[in-house]
Amino acid sequence: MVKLKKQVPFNYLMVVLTTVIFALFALLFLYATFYVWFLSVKIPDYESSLEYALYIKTLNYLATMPAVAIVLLLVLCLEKRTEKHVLTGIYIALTVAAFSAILLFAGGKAAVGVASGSAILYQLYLLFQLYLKNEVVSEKTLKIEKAGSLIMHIGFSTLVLSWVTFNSTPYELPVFWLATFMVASGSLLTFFGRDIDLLLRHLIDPDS
Amino acid sequence: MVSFADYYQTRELLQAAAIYFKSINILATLIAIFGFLKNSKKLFVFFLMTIFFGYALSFFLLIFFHVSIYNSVYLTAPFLPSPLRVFPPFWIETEKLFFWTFLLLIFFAAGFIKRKNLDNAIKLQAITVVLFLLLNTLIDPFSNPLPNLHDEIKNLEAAASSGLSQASIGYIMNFYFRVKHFYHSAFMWTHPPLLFLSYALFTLALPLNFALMIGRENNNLETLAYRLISSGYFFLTLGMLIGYPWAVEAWYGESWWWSPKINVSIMMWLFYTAYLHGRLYPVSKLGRYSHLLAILSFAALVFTYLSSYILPGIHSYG
Repeated sequence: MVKLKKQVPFNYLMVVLTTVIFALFALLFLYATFYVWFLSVKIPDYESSLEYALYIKTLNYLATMPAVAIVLLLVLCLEKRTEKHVLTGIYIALTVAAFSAILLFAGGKAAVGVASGSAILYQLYLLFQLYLKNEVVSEKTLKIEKAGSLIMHIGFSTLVLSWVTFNSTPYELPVFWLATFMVASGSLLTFFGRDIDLLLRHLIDPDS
Repeated sequence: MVSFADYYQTRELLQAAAIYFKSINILATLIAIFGFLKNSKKLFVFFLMTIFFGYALSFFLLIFFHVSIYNSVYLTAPFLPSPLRVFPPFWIETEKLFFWTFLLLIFFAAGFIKRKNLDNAIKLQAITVVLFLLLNTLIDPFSNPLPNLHDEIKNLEAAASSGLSQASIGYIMNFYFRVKHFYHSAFMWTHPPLLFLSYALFTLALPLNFALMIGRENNNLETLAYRLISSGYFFLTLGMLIGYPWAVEAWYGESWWWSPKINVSIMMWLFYTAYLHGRLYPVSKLGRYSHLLAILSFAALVFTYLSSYILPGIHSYG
């Protein structure tokens, strides 16, 4: 008797990966919190100390990799809705290569900028694929919820762009507000999509 | 001579209301315990009415106090850019826990009214509500109303009465700009209330996740917990994001990004984000872990709330 190997769904793997990366990133923040606490006990004016400056520098460096991982995950989260695995694989390989090269030659700010910028472009392409070509793959969620999820994820990629690449530039806040609008409207559609759908149906046909 | 007599009078009146507030909390707790023991819907409705109207009246008293500050504490001087009346928000200092609890009660009551049934979810949430009532008995907004602002007002009165020395002008100017850019900032009236809205929703989801973690899978409880957390997540994300331009404006040039309060807030947000992703597979093993993640997220929330009192850095009250 041939025993069939049960295939782990791609979506499930993505969910596990996302959860683990978020939890690891959360632990980095926990470590940072306790380190500052420790510094404040050890050094009275800790914020002007050399140790604190070094801490900021180290954290900025350490956060770069998880930030890129999250940006890539933002794409993977959307990708699972289209099943375009090959294209996404190429996109990720190119982004990781470009990110590594730019990180070496131009620094973390530009590297994260390229990663999040390309993520936004790819996400917009997926949005186009899903909604103009109507390639809907899941039966469980409503179209309005999917649209919300896409907009929310693009918003988060834009936030990374605002915080890292446009930090301390005149573009920082305009890009931030645009991202906030996308995150807020996307979240509304994602989390309250069914209520909005019901409300719209009721407005169109009060007897429904 | 400057006098804020009306303000002091109202503050004393508010302090007298501390007994009323504590009594409401204790009375409601007793009704809840009897209601649980007898499994009585009537007693439960009585419990709900007691806390709802008790807290509504308490909130009305707080509004009255804030209006009295607005009417009494009026700053006008040739060296100030414009006259200013002080109107502190309702989510600072000793009023924070009250505001959180008040929102919690509104959502709790709304849940009961919507479902019209004394179901397991309501019973579980009632335990959390009672814990919050007891917490409010210990830390109430009436015994010592807005202690830091009170000290500032007293110092302001002393500075204004002592003649216009360099030091007193400095103090008044400092207070003026603090009120303008902190208490009256548009961010202050959006960032904290949105966060407290999310805290209230997360609080109601906590007992449900505990039950799901230790008990059997229950689709109704699971869906309700998810709805509460996803709604809370919307307010949390929006509230945190609105804090960003405020930080850029208020702490320009300071290294605030990696400060402890910001760190723990982002940590909490990441935990809730992980929960929402983990919850995409409620029937799998990850679904069981997602309840644990929700509980850990709430622990991170409590830590975030307390961090202002125990951790150093720019959000610190310590």
